[in-house]
Amino acid sequence: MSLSSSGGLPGWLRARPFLLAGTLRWLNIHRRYRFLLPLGVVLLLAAAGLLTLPYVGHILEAAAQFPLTSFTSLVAACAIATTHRKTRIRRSLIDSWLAPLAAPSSVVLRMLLPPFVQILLLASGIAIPLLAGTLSWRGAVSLWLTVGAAYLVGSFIGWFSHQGSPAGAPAFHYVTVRKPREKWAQAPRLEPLSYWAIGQARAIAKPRVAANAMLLVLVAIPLGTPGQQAIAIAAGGWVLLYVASLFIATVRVAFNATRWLAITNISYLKLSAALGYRVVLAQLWVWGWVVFLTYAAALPGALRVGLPLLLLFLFLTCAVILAASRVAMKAVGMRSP
Amino acid sequence: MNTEASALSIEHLHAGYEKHRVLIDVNLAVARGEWVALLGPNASGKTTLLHCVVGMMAPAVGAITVCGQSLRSNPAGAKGKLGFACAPERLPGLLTGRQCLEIYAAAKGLSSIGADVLELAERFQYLPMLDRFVDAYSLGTRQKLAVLLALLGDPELVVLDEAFNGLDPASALALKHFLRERVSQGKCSVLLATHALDIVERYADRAALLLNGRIAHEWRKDELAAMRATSEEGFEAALAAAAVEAEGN
Repeated sequence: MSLSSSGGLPGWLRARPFLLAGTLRWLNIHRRYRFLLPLGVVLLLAAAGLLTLPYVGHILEAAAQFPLTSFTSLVAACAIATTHRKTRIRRSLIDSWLAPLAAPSSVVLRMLLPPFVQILLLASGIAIPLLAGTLSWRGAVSLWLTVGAAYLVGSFIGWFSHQGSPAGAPAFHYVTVRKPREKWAQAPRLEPLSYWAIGQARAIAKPRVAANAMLLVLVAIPLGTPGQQAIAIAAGGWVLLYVASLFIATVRVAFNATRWLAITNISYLKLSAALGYRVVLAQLWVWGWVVFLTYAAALPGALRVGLPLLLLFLFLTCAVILAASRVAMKAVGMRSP
Repeated sequence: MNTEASALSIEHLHAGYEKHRVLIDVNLAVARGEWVALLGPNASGKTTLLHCVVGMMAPAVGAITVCGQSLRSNPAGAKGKLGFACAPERLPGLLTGRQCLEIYAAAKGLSSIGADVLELAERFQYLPMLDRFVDAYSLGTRQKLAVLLALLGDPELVVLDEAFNGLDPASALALKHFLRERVSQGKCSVLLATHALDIVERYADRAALLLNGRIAHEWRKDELAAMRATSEEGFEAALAAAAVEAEGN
């Protein structure tokens, strides 16, 4: 009986079980969801079409003129992604189904491959408006250099600023152990669900790594950037990162929570409220500080534009919580009583 | 302890997670051609001990030798001698059973899958599932795949963590006979963490009780045989008595 199902793959790949398993998983995704490949091609073509628009060219030109902002955001994103990847790979060496094998674990290749693909995509994304004539050579070169430098610095920060949990230890270091409610057994509530999303957001944002990346922006001060501007960029980046993490965490937790709550009769509104109220409170806290600092810095123009945007953002958060709960409940066949 | 002669030798093993000590001064040996059952209540450290044995967790102190190869100084050599059935939920959902077997076989440097493993797969009635995705498997089918992966390449030491959980009675019996036959022929040794006392009574050569991270009691082959012959409640009563005695100490 033949057992070969990866005959077309090169020998060096077949000798590396972690890479082979990853490749086969990607091929199987296409095998299982046939629509994904054509959809991916269509999305890529649409993205390429968007990049040729003059409006996008102007935005990229502006980003090239203020490389500090793009650089800091990319460094933070890359540092966090590197940390996540490092943690994932370290854990796979301990608890993966392939861990007990005496075979190469391909750590270097698994660390380098994803950023290589991302840099390639970003470089192509810059090249398209250049070829379309909406971005200048000078702007494109500046952006390419920013991307390259940011990935280099971000990978370095991400690799060294997070040591990860000790081998074999569960990843509980981001979850704060809270004092249990006195009547948790006599009067149980759904409240612990709300901590889950907040803890998950912290795990996604990796605050220690992000802080190291944001500190980099201060290097720009001796290079001539005004201090207020550098600090504002760092603070803005921090806030956006936290809020984005909250968004992702809420959606993820909604699906994870409903998976094991599927057999209960919890109502839709109750679930949404339990999942989301602490997320909304956390955002109110963060945005409150932003408004206060903007007011203290006497920037009425920024407040005029910012306040409606903040309200819109809060409204959007509530909408995301409600939609995520609805879709997650539907996915596991839960019906609100 | 003669580490060359034994399939597995564990000496003064201490292991834990951060400040939580799970294993405390564990000493255990599995001779070649021997089936040792590891018993103990939940959270007593059985899985941690097995993870240390297969190199998935680094112990704080102590030495582990697999068929004469030190896991610390020659991990590749030691890992090459053993087969481990991972937890069923660890198997990759987006690969098929055939792909999993192929990856494992390639990683172990096998030119083909052994006829005896394929025969066991047939007795498991697993072959029709080969080309289905693992995430479509039931718990029992995943368990079958995990066991087949562990047995690939004729490992000298087979390490199983509650591998009979979820298996239907016919498949469980097939696996017990398969392992007993191989152990009796001296082809391999087995270290099995289990709660199934019938396996200890009928199939194992020796049993060890792990309590609070320490080996609290060991039963030799002749003791197990004597218990089978004389005691009405068999091993269950002996286990309870040993646990009470260990707690008292």
